[in-house]
Amino acid sequence: MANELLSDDEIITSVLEGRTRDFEILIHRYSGKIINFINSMTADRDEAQSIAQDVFFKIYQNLPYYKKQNNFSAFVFKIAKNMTLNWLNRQKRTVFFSRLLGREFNQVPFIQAPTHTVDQEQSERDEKIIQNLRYLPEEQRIALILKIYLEFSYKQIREISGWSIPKIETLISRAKSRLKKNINLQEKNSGFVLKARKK
Amino acid sequence: MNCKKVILRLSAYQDGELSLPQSRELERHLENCAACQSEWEACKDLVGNLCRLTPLAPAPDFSSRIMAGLRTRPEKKFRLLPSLAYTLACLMIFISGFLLEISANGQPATAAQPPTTFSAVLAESRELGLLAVHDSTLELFSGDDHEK
Repeated sequence: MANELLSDDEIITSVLEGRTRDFEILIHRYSGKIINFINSMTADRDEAQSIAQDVFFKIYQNLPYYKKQNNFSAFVFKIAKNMTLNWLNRQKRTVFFSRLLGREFNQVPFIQAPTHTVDQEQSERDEKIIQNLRYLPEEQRIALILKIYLEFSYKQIREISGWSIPKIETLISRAKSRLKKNINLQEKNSGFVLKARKK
Repeated sequence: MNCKKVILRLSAYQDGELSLPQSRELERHLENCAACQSEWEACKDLVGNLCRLTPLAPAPDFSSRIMAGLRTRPEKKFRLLPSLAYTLACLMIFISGFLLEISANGQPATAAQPPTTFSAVLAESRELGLLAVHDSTLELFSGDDHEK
């Protein structure tokens, strides 16, 4: 239990000294956040678990290069962001070449697998949020997710993404106004559909 | 602060990224502007909705799979090996090109020797059309004692 109170930097020192088992504390500390970040970006629950696993392997491999300045969180999410973007790019390429070859892409991207743990209404609401997020440009999506779901400050987002603070502010502001527009449009459309059904 | 500025900074205000005086100024504007107030309410609703996303929990065996993977995964000891291989390949291509050049011409191509005397410099410049040098001028400098 005492291990849980250790700082990230202390745990990393311990892992680098050969106590590999301590790496599990870091996994417990960050796995939830990383999986949710990747899931919000990819909208694919299974892939989120799989990519997150690779993220931890990558973190472990790169531990000797981490400079201890109490910003392990930025180090972790920089890796998670890059690996997620790589996955998204691979998906885009796969879809592009599948279409080019006239083949149907067998896995529809950005569709959530039905969940068995939450009720139907909640599941639909989650899917709607994820669908709306996926319409955002990648940079806006990253900035918004890091802010809203992971509650990073603009300074921390700068460390993770390498963007300037004014750029981050603009990205998040644009993401929010775009989401508002999309949601309003969807509500209007669903209103029209309901009216048409009544008629 | 006018409405346009307020709308632009609402997001940063919501994220708690404005300084205290900036926040106070924005709040004063919101108290007196119904349009901006409704925009602010919409912002709050949006973030409230986004935050209702159910968090995804890691699979029960998530950490144990990683730990098992770390034990079986070979460590990357030779990180420089791929770049070293690329460098060697480039070097081999360069050397083979050089050897081919020798075998084709009989001897390696060497750069032309630069002129060593002042008169030679003048003569070369005249040949290249860089300078208009009279013959008498060339003769004037064409002695061993007029070295560059």
